[in-house]
Amino acid sequence: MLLSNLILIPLIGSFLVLFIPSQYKETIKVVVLSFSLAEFLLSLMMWMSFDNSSSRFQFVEAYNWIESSNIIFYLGVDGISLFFILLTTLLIPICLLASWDAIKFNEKEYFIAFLAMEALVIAVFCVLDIILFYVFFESVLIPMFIIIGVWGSRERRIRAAYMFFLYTLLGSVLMLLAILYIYYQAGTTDYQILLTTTFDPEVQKLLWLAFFASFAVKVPMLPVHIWLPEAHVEAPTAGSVILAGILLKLGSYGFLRFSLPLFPYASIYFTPLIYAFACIAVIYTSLTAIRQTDLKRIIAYASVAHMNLVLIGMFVYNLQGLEGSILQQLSHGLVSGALFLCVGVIYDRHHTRLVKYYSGLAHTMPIYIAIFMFFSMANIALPGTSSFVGEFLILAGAFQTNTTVCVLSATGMILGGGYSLWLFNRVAFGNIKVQYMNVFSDVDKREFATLLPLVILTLVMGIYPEIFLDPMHLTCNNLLAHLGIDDIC
Amino acid sequence: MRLLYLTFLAETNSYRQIMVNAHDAPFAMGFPLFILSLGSIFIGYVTKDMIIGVGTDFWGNALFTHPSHLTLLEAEFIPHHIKLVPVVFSLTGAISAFFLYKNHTRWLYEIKVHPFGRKLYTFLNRKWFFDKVYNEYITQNMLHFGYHTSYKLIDRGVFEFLGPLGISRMVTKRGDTLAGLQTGFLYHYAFVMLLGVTFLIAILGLWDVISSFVDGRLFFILLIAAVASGSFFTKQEASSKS
Repeated sequence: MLLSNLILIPLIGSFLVLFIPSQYKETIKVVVLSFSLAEFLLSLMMWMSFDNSSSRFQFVEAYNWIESSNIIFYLGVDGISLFFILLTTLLIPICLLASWDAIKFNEKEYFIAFLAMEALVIAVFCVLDIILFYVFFESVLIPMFIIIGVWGSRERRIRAAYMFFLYTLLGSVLMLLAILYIYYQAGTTDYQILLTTTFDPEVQKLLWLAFFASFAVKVPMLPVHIWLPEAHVEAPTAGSVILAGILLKLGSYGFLRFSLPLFPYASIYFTPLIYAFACIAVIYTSLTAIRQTDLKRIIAYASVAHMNLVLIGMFVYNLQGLEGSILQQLSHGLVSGALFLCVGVIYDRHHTRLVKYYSGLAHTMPIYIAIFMFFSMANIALPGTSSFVGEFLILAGAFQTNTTVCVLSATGMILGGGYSLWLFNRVAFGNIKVQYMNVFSDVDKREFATLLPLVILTLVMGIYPEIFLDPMHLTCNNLLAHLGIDDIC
Repeated sequence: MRLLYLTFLAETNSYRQIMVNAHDAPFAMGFPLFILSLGSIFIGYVTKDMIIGVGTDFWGNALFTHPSHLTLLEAEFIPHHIKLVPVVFSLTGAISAFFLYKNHTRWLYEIKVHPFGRKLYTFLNRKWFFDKVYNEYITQNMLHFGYHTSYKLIDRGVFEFLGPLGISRMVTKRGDTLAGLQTGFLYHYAFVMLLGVTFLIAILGLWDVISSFVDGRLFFILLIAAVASGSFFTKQEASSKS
């Protein structure tokens, strides 16, 4: 019952909030926050009772959804999806705290949208039926579309919301076709039964490309990435955090869960394609990030670079690369989320995101700058932070499979140092530009409370990653064995 | 050696006030310096075998040397006069610095102001112009690429025109054109219907002949070409209007 409770708690919360009159703003906020915290505690209990010595799906539940068509609402968690659920339940309370005062109108609807999105995202990560995966994967779009389109910062938000929606939908239509083909071929959409099904190599290639179209938009890969900077810049702070922290992971999770195990032949066949696109994207977006003038746009382009590094780790087919890519996704969820929160802190004070107006904040906001520096360092994968472990594992894995790809993707780390340090330097040091802004205050208790858990977790993950890697070992080994790669260690 | 000479042996350049108040290092500063100097003199003797000795596994062989690059054995057997070369050179340098700065200051100055001397001085002083090469040939180009090529030309140019902006413009434009076809005359409708049905029947009847010309891959090229030409012409019309 654990997983269905995880999905139901936020839904019940949002349903309850529906009956609170919208003028009781504080009550709404407190109710919503307590529901999301209860959800977080429940997900921690799931982690505690997770059995590391099994590669099977755990906490399995099955309910008949459409009996006549053999579609079953199947829930289960393994070492891959466990931490994505934990990341979601951790980031949602932080986002709610971050938007405590920043949202000025329609608070009730905003918080309902957030809780609904939490339920849908958790459902995506634990559902084991591809039709239902498609349903939840798509329905995540609805609350996010509303959050960007209604509570975004300027007029351009409408365009950003449409771009986000249409790009994702474009890829997903192809995925729906592929899912229908699979359904008529195999007679079922149950993921665990499909794992035992082998498709014809030529068909596999087409199906893989159809899934790729959908997941590549979400990750995002190179030609279809332009929705991401747009959506990040226009979304409210908490929306950007969720977008970078969780929604991008839906794409890479899709690759891990569906593309790799269902179509092993096609995955290996198309590996050079992934390498080429991802390597170009790592260097290209890093170079673009250096020249951006908008704080959020810099972090958005950096996210694209990091997520493409994650894809390289996923497709090098060894244990280091695979576990590194999952760990790097968690780390990216924490670090880029925290960077967006940092931008949100100064945006709430000065209502601009242009780098040129900020300078010398180290003189007036020491605590803020210390936290911002920590996350800038984490963004360039400084040893001791979580990104280092992830990127190091990915590069170590890539080096064994393809040295050229490893060298090219390592270039991204150097350029990452370029844009992170430059951004931090321009915001933190230099003269205070009093002609632009003259009210200064450091982070308050609420903002500190949103950032502190991320600091601690980034450090824990960087210093002792074994607690996160342990539950992954068996599942990842199992996945590699399923792909027919003999790298069990 | 030049530094040592100019600091401790040459005529002083500083003001009288400073010279009067100059004094030796106090104990708190001198003692650590003394310990450090002991270390810097003797640490080589003491730990040489431990760190770079033959076959040492210091730090668990963290500093790995490939067997084919192993010169440590040869280092143990080189002639004595070769081993003395570094000492001889540093002593020569010290002595020449001492004499040049003591007796030939004028000559050194002439070298410095000589055109070739100035060039040599600049070359060495600017670190062999490594930074200039980095900045002008690598960094500038990368920054230029990052803004003009990758951001303006590709991200906000090609991807926008082949993506959201181009399609939305093209749909508006083509929609206007199609709306112009709507005249309300019945015989226009009849003509279009006749044309369509004729076309359909022609394709169905001649499919055996036509099918050899049809290639599924062409549709993709056709799609791209349509979008590209659509966005190109809409852009031209927009610019000609303004």
